[in-house]
Amino acid sequence: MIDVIDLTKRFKQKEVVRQVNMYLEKGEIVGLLGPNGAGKSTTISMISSLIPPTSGDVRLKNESIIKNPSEIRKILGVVPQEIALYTDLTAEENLQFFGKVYKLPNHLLKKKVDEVLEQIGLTERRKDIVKTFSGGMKRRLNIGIALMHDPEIIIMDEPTVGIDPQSRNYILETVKRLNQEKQMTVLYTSHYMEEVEFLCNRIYIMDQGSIIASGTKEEIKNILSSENTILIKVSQVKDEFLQELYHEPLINRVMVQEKEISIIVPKEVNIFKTLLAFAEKTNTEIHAVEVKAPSLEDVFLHLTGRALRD
Amino acid sequence: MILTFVKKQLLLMLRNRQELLVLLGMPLVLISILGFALQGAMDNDVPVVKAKVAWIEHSNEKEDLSLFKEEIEKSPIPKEQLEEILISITELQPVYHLKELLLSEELREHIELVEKDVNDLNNVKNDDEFSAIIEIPKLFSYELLNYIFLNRGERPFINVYKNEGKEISASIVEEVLHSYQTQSSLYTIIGKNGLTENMPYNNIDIQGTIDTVTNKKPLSAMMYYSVGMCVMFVLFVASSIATYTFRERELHVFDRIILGNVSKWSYFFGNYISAIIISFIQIMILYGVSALVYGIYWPNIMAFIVVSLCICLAVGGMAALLTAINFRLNSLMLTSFFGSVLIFVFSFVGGSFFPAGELSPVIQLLGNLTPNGSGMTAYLKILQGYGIRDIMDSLIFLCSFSACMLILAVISFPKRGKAI
Repeated sequence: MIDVIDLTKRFKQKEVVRQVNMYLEKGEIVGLLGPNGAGKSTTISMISSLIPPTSGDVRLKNESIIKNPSEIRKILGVVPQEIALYTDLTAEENLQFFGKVYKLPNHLLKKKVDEVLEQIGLTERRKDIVKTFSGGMKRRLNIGIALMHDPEIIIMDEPTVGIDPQSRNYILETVKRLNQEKQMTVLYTSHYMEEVEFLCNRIYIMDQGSIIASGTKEEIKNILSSENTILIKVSQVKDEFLQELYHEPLINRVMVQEKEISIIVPKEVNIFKTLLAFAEKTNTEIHAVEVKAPSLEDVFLHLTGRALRD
Repeated sequence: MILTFVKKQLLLMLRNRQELLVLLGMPLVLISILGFALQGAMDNDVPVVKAKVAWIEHSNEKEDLSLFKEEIEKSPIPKEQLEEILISITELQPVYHLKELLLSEELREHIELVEKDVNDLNNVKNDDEFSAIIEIPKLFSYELLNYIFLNRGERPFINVYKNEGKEISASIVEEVLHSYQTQSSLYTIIGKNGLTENMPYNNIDIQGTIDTVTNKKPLSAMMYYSVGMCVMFVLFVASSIATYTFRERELHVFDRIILGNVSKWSYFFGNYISAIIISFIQIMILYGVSALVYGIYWPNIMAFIVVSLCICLAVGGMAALLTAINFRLNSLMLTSFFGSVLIFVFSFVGGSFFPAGELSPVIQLLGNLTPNGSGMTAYLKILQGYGIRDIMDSLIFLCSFSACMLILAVISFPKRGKAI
C-alpha cells in the first residue's frame, strides 16, 4: 500500500533520517520503534507529505506522494505527538471544525461527529471545553480528529505519551479495534516496547536516523536466538561488581535498572560460576538469577548498546 | 472553508476573556475616562497646547462709539439718563475688552493673537496654522449698544471659526469666549443698576456664532476619544490573529489543516478574512456602545461603513504580514513587539491620545502614514459632516496600505515544507 524508498532528510548539514526503507500492507499494524531523537517523527512527517524529503520517495499504490500529496492526504489520518486541538473549543466543536477541514458534507458531519465521539468514549463530554479534560481524554480526542474522514491509513506518533495506564489501555484497545473492525492500516510509533509488542504485526527499529532492524516480532526476537538474557537481582548494585561484568569478555551487554542487572551472553556459555565468583570477590549479595526469553527491549539493547528510554 | 475559519476564530475569541477585555473592555473604559477627563480638565490641560488666533475687525470700535454717542445725544432721552448712558458706554467697549482679554498676561501662554486684514479672511481660513478666527463684523459695537440701551435692531454676533483639525486648541478659544460672555453679562447687570428703572435695555450677552473654518460641526472630547480608542484597539486584532495562527502552528493544528488538503493559501486568506470580519465586528460594537451610552451618532452612515471597512482591510493586511513573519522566523517576537510597543507608537503619532499632529508637522505627517491615524482623520471628518469625497485620500491610503501588507505577507510566507 505504501512503499518508503531510500528516504533521507537533511536539515542544513545534519542528516536526521538516513536512507529509510519500509512498506505498509493494507490492514496491518506496523510499529516504528526507537528512542527519542531517533528520527521517527521526521520520517512520518515525510510519509504523511508534511515535509518533503531531501532524497528518496514515498509511493502510495505506486504513485509518488511527493509530486501529488493530495492523494495520500485523502486516505490518511495523522495523530501527532502533540495535543493538536483547540483547547478553548468543545470536543464537538473541534470535531466539527476538522470535519469541515476534511470537507465532510453537512448532512454527514453530525452523524460522523456522533460516531467518532462514541468510538473515543467522549459522548458524555461532547459539550465540554477541551481544556477541562484530563490528559487521557485530550489524547483520545486527538485520535478522534484523525478518524473524522474515515481514513484507510492512520499514522500515530507516540499517542500515549504522558497519560495514565487506564487511558493508555483504552487507546491501545481503540487502535486494535479500529484495525480489526475497519481494516485500518496503522503505523504506530512509540518508544514503549510493550505497546509495540501488544499492537504490531511487524516492527521497524530506528536509531540515529536509520532503520537498524525490521521484521515480525518473532523475527526480531530471533536476532537474539544465539544469546540469553540473564537477570541478576542483587541487594545493592556495587560499582566493583559492575566493573567485573563490563570487563568479562563472555558478556556481550550489561544493563542496570535499580537493583536488577541484565546481561546478554552467548547461549553456549555457562556464566553462573563466573557470576558467583564476581559476587564473592566484590562482596555482592545475589538474591536471584533468572534466564529470560529475549524481549524487544533486549533486542534494542543488543543492537544499539542503549536502552530505549535512555 | 473561509467561513469555517472565521467561525472558529470568533468562537476562540469569544471564549477568551482576556482577549475580549483587550478588544472591547479596555477601549470602552478608556473612552469614558479620557472623554470625561478631558472635558473636565480642559482648563488645566490646555497649557501644553497654544492656539494661534486670527483677529479680523471690519470696523473701528471708537468710531462705532462716537457714532452711537452722536445719535443718542440727538435723541429725546432725558438729560439725566443720557449722562448715565454716556458714562456707561465709556466703560462698555466690548471689542476692546475682548481683545484685551485675549492679549492678557494670563492667556499669553495659551493664545497667540494675530491681527489680520479683512481681505485676508479667506487666506487665513486656508492656513492650517490658525486654530481659530475671530471676526468682528462691521458696526458691531454700534449695533450692540443700540440693542442694549435703546432696544433697537437685532443683537449682533461675533463670528468665531474653529479649525476642525485642531480640536483642543480651538476649544481653548471657545472656552475663553464663553467665559468672557459670562463676565460681560454680569458687568452689564452692574451697569444696569446704575441706570434708571425706566431705561429699556438688554443684557450685553455678546454672542459668537462658533463655527469651524469650513462650516463643519465641531467635535467633542467624547467623539474624539471614541474614534481615537477605536482605531487604536482595532490594531490589536492583527496581533491577536497572528498569535493564534502561530499557536496553531506550534500545536501542529496547522499541520492537521494542511493534511485536510487545505492549501496553505486558503489558510492564509482565511486568517486575513477572519481579521477583517472580527475587526469590523469590534468596530461596530465599540461605536454601537458609544452611540447608546454617549450619543455619538454618525451623520453619514455610508461613509462611516466605508471607512470602517477600509480600516479593517488594513488590519487584515497587518494580521497577514505578522502571521507570515511569525511563520518565517518561527517566533512570536515581532508580533509581541507590535502588540506591546508599535501599537502605542502608532496610536501616539496617529493622535489617539491627543492631537499629536499639533505638536509638529513631522508627527502630523507620520500620523497620517499610520492606518489608525489615517482612519482617525477620516472618521473625525465624517463626524464633522464631510462626505466620502472629502475623505478619499484616507480611504486610498488605507486600501493601499492593506494591499502592500498583503503583498509583503505573500512574499514572506514560507514555501511548502518550510512552513511546517
